[in-house]
Amino acid sequence: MRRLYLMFGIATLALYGTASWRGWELFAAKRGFVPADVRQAPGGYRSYGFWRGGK
Amino acid sequence: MSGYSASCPSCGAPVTFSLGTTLLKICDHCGSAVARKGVNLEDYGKVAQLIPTPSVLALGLKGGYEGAPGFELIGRLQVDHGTGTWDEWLLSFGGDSWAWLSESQGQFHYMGQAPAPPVPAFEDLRVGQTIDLGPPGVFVVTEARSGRFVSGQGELPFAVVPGSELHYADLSGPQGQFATLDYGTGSELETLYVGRKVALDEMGLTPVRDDERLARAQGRSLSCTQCGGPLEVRCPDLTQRIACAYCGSLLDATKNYQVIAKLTQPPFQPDVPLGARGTLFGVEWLCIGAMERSVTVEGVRYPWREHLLYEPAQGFRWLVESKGHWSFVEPANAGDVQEAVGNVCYHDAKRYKHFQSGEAVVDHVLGEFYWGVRQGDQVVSHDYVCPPYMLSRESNDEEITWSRGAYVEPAEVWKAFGLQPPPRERQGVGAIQPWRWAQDAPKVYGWGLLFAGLLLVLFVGFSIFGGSVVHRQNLAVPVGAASGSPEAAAFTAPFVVERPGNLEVAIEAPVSNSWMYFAGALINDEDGGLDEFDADVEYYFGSDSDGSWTEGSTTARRYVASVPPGRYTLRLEPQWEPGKKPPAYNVTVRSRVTRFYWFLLAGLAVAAWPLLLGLMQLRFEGARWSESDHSWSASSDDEDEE
Repeated sequence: MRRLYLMFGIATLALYGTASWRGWELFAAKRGFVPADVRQAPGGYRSYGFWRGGK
Repeated sequence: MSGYSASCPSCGAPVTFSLGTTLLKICDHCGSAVARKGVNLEDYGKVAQLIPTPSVLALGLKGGYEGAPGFELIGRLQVDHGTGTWDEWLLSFGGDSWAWLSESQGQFHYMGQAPAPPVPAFEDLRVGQTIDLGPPGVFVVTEARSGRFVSGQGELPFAVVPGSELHYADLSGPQGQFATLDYGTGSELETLYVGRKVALDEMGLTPVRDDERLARAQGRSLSCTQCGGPLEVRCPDLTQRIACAYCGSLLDATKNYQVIAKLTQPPFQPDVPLGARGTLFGVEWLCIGAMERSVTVEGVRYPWREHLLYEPAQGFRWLVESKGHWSFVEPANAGDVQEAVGNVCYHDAKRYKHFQSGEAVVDHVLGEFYWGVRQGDQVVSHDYVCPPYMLSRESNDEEITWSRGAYVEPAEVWKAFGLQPPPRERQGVGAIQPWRWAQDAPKVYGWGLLFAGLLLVLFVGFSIFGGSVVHRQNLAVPVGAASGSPEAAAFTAPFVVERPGNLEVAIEAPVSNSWMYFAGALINDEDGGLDEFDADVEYYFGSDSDGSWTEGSTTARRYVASVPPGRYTLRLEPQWEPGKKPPAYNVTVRSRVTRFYWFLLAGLAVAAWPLLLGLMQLRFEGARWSESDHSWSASSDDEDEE
């Protein structure tokens, strides 16, 4: 059992390290989509400059 | 005066004292004990015929020991302590130098004289007490009793009338040392002997060929003097008592098998039959006897069975069964046991904890025994455990013995002796039953701590050095924009995410006793991918009768999973508390950041095994100790009563 635990522990640390290094999340995001024509249509997608967002 | 010769005062035959220090000579011709009193000889009367013992030595044998000058056996003393007779052989090294070689139950102890420190008088000795013997060390009294000088041969170093009571105490010391306090016929110490257990070959002695003894040692078939049933004596050399397998009567093997206790049927059937042979720990043992013993606690009898095993070169061992649990028991040197405060003792670098004590009684016996066992024999027993080992101390007023038992799996016993049917189911947890994971547990606990430590280091490392900032920007709500309106929304400048992974969006808004809410969206400028999120920033503070307080934070963090590489823009649409002016806020976007829940999950995973193992061990040990004098469930009152 101790050998099994040793392997399990090493695997767990390796998994944790990989998840942290690669920026993994446990749950995937629900990704939407904004079509290009909407993004380019007036009133649909507004560019950074249009919205005057930045200082 | 060595080499002194004279005539026997009884028969006139020549008697010679070969050693200057011997004071008694048994006349070879008439058997009189001739004492040397200065230059005169005195007749102390005739000694009895030699008691037939299983001795393999004889007067005149020569040997050598540890580089000392060669010796010769010049005297033999036979002492009867009531339940048996043993032989003491006097070794002469020439001149005035001599030592004893004690022979009992096939074992030999070499004992030489040593300077005697002050010791208690014989009447004040108690078994179990420790005595500092000076250079040899601290010894424990294992036996204190009187024996009768019944017979002898050759020369002896003291002048004692045959039949006299001799007082002595045997002591056990460190590293297998033995000592004997010889009080002679009085109560003050006469001589101290110190030595150790030896083998005949290391003494340079060769057992004498004794045809009669060999005939006896080959075993003999007799009939029970009580029931007439066949009585097979498997160890005639050493057997003192034999209990008939047919009627259970107890016979004295040293006195022509006369009946000591009459029975009509055997009291029990041992699991290992008498005469069965089996190999345990690499030695083939012969089962020659069995007994049932018990302790009674609060009116409840707790029995167990002991099987006596014999092997000529190894001597005797016990195979003990209690509630289906088995242990292999061998003698332990009392001098090597250190009893300490707190109900613990140490032996062979192991720490034993007290388990239980009681008055053990011999209830039934079957087969052969090397001592004068009797039904009803009673000793006080103390058991100490260090699974899979048990250290047991048994004592009465005259003797104390220690033994060490090792747990044996029942299947191993069954296999060794070829027993049928299969062993009984074990009841509960045995006193020294090893826990299944006893070997693994310490490693698992240790590794668990190591993994937890490494995990913490990794977490701190990733938290400080992990992730990379891909964008940072200050944003402000346009003047006149309404809360939650499209006019209030802002886009960040486009930024590039180079590696796939999560993104952390941290919004820091210096709100004061207020809040800001952000409806956010991460927009991939290249393919239009959209991840929406929202974030609350609220921070309140104040003071009341308990003092000052704060609630919330001026920073909110949100995470977007699995963001592919690309060019992105962040859209934030703020809302704020009506009537308050929204502050400017700061947005920081980091890629590939560690998450606390990974740390939590990994921590739980590496801790689960040791925790589960610990619970199992706790349950197992609880069951073990529930049968002891120190049950974990016992109330403190019970403990106090103990």
